[in-house]
Amino acid sequence: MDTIWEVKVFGNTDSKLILDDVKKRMYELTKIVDFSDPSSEISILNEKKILKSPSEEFKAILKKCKEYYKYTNGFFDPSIYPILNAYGFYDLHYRIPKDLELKDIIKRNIGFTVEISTNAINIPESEKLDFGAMLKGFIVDRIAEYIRKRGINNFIVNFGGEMVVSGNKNGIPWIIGIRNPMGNGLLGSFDFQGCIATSGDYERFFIKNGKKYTHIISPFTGKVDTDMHSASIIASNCSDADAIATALCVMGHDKAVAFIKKMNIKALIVSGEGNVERFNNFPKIH
Amino acid sequence: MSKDSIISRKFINPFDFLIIFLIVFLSTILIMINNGEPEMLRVKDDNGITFYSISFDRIIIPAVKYKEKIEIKNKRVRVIDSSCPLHICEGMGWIDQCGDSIICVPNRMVITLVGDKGIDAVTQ
Repeated sequence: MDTIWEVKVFGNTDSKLILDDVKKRMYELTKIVDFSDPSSEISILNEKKILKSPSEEFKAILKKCKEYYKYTNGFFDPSIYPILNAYGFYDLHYRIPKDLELKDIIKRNIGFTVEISTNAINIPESEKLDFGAMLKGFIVDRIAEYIRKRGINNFIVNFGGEMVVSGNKNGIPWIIGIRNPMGNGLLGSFDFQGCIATSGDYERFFIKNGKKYTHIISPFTGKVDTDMHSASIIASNCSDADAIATALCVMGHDKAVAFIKKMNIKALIVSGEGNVERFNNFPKIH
Repeated sequence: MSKDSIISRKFINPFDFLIIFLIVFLSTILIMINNGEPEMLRVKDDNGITFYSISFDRIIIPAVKYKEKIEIKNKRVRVIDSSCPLHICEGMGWIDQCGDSIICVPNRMVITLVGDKGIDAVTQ
């Protein structure tokens, strides 16, 4: 998935053994959703529009996606694949699609539609899915659950910046930094325990004719028209935090702030102008 | 015994070589530890230890006995407007390297520039 993951465990545990098991579990999970593997469940579904005998994990991912799509009024949209593809985010041949091409894609997109039954998953002929906006969070939750089942409570599971932070270091809290989206280094840090995810305009982007085109694209216009640098979200699980963080970035500043207030979301956002705003008791950063 | 050999024995014996080696070795280790761009400001006072980002310019006012300000500018740090009786902390000027410190004894405060070693993980 072109990202870095790390697991930190504190205490008297056989870390090598845990790490080996976690690696195995991580590969099992990522294999289900590997775009580059034609035999992965996501590749089969996108190609054939039907997936027979789906795994429980794959069904769980799609069920969550349905929830997030509804919760965010379509700003989290796994059916954004054709738009991202038009910009070249998959084959890495970056280009700026013409307005007519984008309009055509949006016209054909009927919104995220998926049928999940016990033995099969179906999507419409026109649809292709990419649920990368919640996937890292989902995997982090699963790995954290796996580690807890082994009786370990003091750990960090970090997958590309989305993380579950559990317990502490012998009474000393874990310290988490937030990346500065406007440059190198950190925006600040804070003591933390819980689930946190961040989405930002520095993750996947290209620059053409002096303009930055990020992967944070509106599913309604097909354009990169957000005025947000990043959103960091604390939620009860990492999958929720990940999906909401992406949706807020897509919304743009004003809609994001209204949504945060309405849904009582613990958030820290950095606006396009570089203003840092905290909501609903998001920890103060130092 | 000539005068030269006495001086030679007095200043350069195997034990001296060991001391020189240890000093060079420890200095190298310290340089390696403190090397790299500073990322955070670590402030230790009677309230505990707090980390501050130095990624953007600002003034920090720590909750210490004698009021003073810590200025962060262009990834450099200094103490200004200190009301402590000695003002040595102010006189130390800017610090800008990993491991550089300013100490304010009356406030029982030590501020140190550190890399990102104090941070356990980064959300991004």
